[in-house]
Amino acid sequence: MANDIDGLFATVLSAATSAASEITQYKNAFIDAIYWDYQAELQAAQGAAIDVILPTVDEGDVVDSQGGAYTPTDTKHSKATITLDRDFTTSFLIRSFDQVRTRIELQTKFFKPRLEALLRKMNRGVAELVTATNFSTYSVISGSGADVFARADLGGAWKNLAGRGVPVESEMDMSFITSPVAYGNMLSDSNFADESVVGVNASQAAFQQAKLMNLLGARPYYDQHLARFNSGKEPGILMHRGAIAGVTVNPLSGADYKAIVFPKPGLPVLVEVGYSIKDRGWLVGMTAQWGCRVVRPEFGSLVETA
Amino acid sequence: VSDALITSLQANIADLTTSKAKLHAALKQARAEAKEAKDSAAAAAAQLAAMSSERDTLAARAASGPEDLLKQVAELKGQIAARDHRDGFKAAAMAAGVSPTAMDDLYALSGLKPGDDPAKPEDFVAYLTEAKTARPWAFTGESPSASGQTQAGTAGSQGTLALAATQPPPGAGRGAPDHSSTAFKVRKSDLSNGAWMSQHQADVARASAEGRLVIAD
Repeated sequence: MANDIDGLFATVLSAATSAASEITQYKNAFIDAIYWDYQAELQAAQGAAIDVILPTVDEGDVVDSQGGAYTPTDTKHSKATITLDRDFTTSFLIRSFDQVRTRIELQTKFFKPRLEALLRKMNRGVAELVTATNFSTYSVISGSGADVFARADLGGAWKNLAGRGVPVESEMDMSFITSPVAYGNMLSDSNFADESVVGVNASQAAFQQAKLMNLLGARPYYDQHLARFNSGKEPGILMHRGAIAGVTVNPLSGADYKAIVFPKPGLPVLVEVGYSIKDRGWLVGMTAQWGCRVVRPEFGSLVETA
Repeated sequence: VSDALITSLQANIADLTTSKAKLHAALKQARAEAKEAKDSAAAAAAQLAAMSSERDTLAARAASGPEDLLKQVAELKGQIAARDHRDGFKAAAMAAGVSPTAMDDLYALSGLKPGDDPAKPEDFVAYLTEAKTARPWAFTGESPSASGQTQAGTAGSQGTLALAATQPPPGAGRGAPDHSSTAFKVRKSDLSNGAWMSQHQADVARASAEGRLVIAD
């Protein structure tokens, strides 16, 4: 008996939601390290300008009333206008139902690789924002080690951020992202991996799992997409989540069979299915509509090796 | 007949009458005494029977008493030793982190018996250390069936087990199992509602993988 569109969609939905829930292959550090504003109620056209409210702590909002009345102000959280300028799509054609007879096949062979690829491309888009031009509040700290950072390099970046009032104690919001070369060298550097310096647990994690424990209150990651600021020098950035903001919306679609899945919290991907006469097959399309930009350059401090 | 003879005969008659009255009285008294003696004899016989029975009971009790008492004493000693042994085990088990609900089961499974000397908590350390690995359910409060372990137990083991609900196997060749009572129903519009899906994506994935997802128009 031939499958009908309801059955096909149920299989597609099952595979897509399962694949989205099991994204683990690549870390995509920058996607996890920035501030995302998912505007669920919005369906905006490509190129729309969207205001993103940035939570701001401002002592000026507090007035010493001396027993008098309130001095109300408008809600004046600082906001950034971000253009919805990215419309990442990926799609494939199912010519025969035999290709999608099982959910597992569809999930492992098609959905998971495509969702991974989508996230990789988004991560690259965010990483491209990390340049000396975009983060020019502080001068790039030039380290002394060849292709490896010293503790003093990170300490210098931390002082930059703390001095400007960035909430550096917030571990869930602070990240140190560098290249795989520098990260790998740090894993075997005595300053970051020796038991006598960082303790037995951190030393074990570095050697056995290639994981550096928190450095100066920030989660250390490596990301292949981070480009060098200067030729021959490995890059790094100590940043608070609020340095870069991204905005996502539910992509527009007129398809009868569609669902929104989340490979990462706050990152909706539209999955739609329909028969294409032109392509002579069932077209499965995936779309992520988003935009991002540096909104608080003072929330990131760049470092590089010698 | 002369008057003298008549007088003499009358005197004899009077004597005989008197004698008869005396004899009658004597007979009456003798009968009463005989009845009294008979009653007394019957009472004495009954008393004798009761006393004989009592004597036999006492004699039997006197003959068998010491052995019974010794047996009873031994039984009570055994009960006290068992109680002390169990109390010692409980003290050691509590210190080792055994769940109170699994205490009796673990003791029954141990097969340990009281020895000649009173039990001390350290006597159970070896067994409890082994049990921590072999019977982890006893240390978490989890029932043996829930942790996927069978309770080997000794013949005398009578632990109360909280058995997990049994799951019927899928019907082989008889169609898919009926999941209608646990169906996860979603509307098409829910699937394209980002706010809804951000909360329920994992539920949708799980339900569809288990064949419980129903998509309504």
